[in-house]
Amino acid sequence: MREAILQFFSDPEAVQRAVVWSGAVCTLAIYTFLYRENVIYRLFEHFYLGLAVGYGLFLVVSEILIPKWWGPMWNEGRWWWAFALTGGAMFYFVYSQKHNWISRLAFGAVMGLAVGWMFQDFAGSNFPKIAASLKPVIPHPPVGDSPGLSVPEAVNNAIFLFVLLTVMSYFFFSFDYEKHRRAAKAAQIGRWMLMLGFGAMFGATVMARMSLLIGRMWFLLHDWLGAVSF
Amino acid sequence: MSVFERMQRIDRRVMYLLLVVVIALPMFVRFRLPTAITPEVRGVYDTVEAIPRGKLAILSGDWGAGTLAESLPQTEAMMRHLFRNGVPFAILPWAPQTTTLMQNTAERLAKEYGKVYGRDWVNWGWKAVPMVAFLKSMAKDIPGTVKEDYRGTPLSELPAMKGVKNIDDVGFVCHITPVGNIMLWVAFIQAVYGTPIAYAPTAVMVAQGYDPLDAKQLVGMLPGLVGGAQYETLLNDPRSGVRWSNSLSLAELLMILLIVLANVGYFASRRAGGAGR
Repeated sequence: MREAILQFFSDPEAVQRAVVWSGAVCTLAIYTFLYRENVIYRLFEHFYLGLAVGYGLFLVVSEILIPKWWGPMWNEGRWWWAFALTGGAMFYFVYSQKHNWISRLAFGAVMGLAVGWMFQDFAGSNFPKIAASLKPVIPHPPVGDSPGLSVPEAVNNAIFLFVLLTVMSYFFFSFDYEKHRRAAKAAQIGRWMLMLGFGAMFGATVMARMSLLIGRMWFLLHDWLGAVSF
Repeated sequence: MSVFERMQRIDRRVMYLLLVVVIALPMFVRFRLPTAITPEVRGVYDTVEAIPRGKLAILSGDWGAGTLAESLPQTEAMMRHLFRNGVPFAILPWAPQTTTLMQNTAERLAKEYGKVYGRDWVNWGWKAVPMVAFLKSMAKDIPGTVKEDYRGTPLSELPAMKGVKNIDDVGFVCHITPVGNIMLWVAFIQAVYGTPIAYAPTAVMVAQGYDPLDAKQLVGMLPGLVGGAQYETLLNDPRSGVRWSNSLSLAELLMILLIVLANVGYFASRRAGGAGR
């Protein structure tokens, strides 16, 4: 038995065949849900969850704890990595009512680091967008180094500004819409623009889901059955 | 039950079966639907064409087997273009799975173009560090941050990395991902160093890409599978992206047809005095 297993794993083609077959069986088992809820689907769903958790744990040990912490500390004499254990262990005091404050030190340090990054993230991401939102709407020929603006570009910019302002007005809650009918109208148009945006986003989501199905179909028809080729 | 009521009550299993048929059809029958090239895809192509000689390109990947149908055509198209133009590139994977998937793709394509690992491309491997920390460090010191490739070979021994010190030696970055982390590249690399960055998201994340695109923070975008298909068309080398986008087009046509059918049934049955649904 042991020899048969070793022989199997020493043959890359046999291993590849087994991988493809297990992939196909798992795919079909999961897709049985499309017919109706059933025990095969549930069984493979639990296989998947178990595999995902096991894989995640394995990665943490093999890719992080051993090469980045245990190895340098134990094999390379970097003893100061032992303090990382103390720092990490501090998080677990969140479960202690008496010593909860210890975990807050660790959380505070991590949050401070994250907030520092967020400042740069926010500035680098959003300030150029605000600047780019101030678009010209009057067509003009090139002036010096500044490029001109054609009529279609000006129309595009006008539409952009119209949508921007109406959507922003929807999120401006300081108006009494009973008294300011124009502001109410702008907010209503803004809501419609948002709905159009959500519709487009949902359309893109459907497209993405179809792509997932295409990927699985190609796997079944090409990799497993060999019925189609590039 | 009237015809109009039946139009609203098609069994979902029948719809799933129809979907499978229309998706499988283009895989068996070869045909080509017209592909319009959008400005965002053209932007990526033009930027790759203009990468200065001696600069490195980075293909940053954050995808796995789950989004293969979208991310693989994008990755393949980018690699083909870089191989064809003789631009050395580094694979920068953000997950262990991506390391293997992108490396396998590069090895497969390298045979077609006669390219060699180490000279024409390198794989930096997954580093298991926070993305922001890695980007900030890499921007200033690539060899010191990356240290070695996915096989454990020091970067100094790889010809493609010769003379590459920091982000100034990088002429182009394409981030291929189903995850919404493109703005980290923008905030910590593009905004600070001006490196041209392209975005290749899955279709579900496409909406996130248009505002940085409009603000010129991105040079272009390959939106999902369709983006891969457009890029293959620009390269005049239709492959999986074009083939699979045919399936996508037919699937969407079917869905539009079903929506129209159900709505026609609804309004017609209301007009006929039925309750609708």
